[in-house]
Amino acid sequence: MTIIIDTVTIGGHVLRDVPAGVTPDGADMVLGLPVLNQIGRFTIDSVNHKLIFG
Amino acid sequence: MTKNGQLTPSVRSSTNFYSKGVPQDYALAHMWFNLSASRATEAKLRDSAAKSRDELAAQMTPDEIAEAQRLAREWKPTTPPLQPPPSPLPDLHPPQPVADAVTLYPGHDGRALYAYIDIGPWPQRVLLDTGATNLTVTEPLAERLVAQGFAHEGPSVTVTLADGSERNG
Repeated sequence: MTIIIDTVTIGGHVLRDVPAGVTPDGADMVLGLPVLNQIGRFTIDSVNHKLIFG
Repeated sequence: MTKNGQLTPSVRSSTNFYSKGVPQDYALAHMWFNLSASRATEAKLRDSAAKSRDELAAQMTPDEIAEAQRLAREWKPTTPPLQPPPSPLPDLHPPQPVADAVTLYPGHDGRALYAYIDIGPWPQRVLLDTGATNLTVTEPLAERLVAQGFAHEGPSVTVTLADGSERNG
C-alpha cells in the first residue's frame, strides 16, 4: 500500500503530496534522501548531529 | 524674508522702524523692499514692494541708495539649503543567516540518525537512511492519516527499506 501525504514538514520546509510506503507497525519509519533532495541542497553533520539545508 | 521673496513678519516690523521712533536704516529697508520687489511670487506684492522702495529712495541720498543696492546684491537667504537625508549607518553587525537545520538524534547503536518531522499534523521520529528511496510510515499512522483526511491512497510503488529489502505497496 502507498499513500500520498498532503504535507510533510521537515524543519521549516513543507513538502506537499509526498508519496509514502507503508510498513508494518513497529518498524522504523524511514526518510530517504530523495525526499530531502526535493527541498534542495543539504548536508548531514554527523559530528554535531545536524541536518543542514542550504 | 522667505525664499519666495515675501517679507516675514520680523522683516515687516524692521521696515516700519523709521515710523516708530527707532533708529532709521533706510539702506536696510530699501534692501528688503528691493529684494521683495524682485523675488516676490505674487505681482501684487512685487508692485507694492517696488512702490515702497521708490518712496523710500526719494528720502535717501545717492550714497544710501548705492549702499542699499549693494546690500541687496550681496544678500543671501539665511535658510540653509536642504541637506540630503542622512545615509543609514553602516551595519557593523549584519544579521547572520539563521541556521536552517534540523537536529538529528543518534540511535542506540550510535550509527543511525533519527529526525523528528511532521507527517501530516503529527511529529514523528523517522530514520534518516541514505539507502532508502522514499518515505515510509507505519500502517497505523497511514490509516490514521487517511482516516482524518491528511493523506489518501496512492498508486502501487516499490519501496526500498532501510535494510535494503524492497516492498511492493
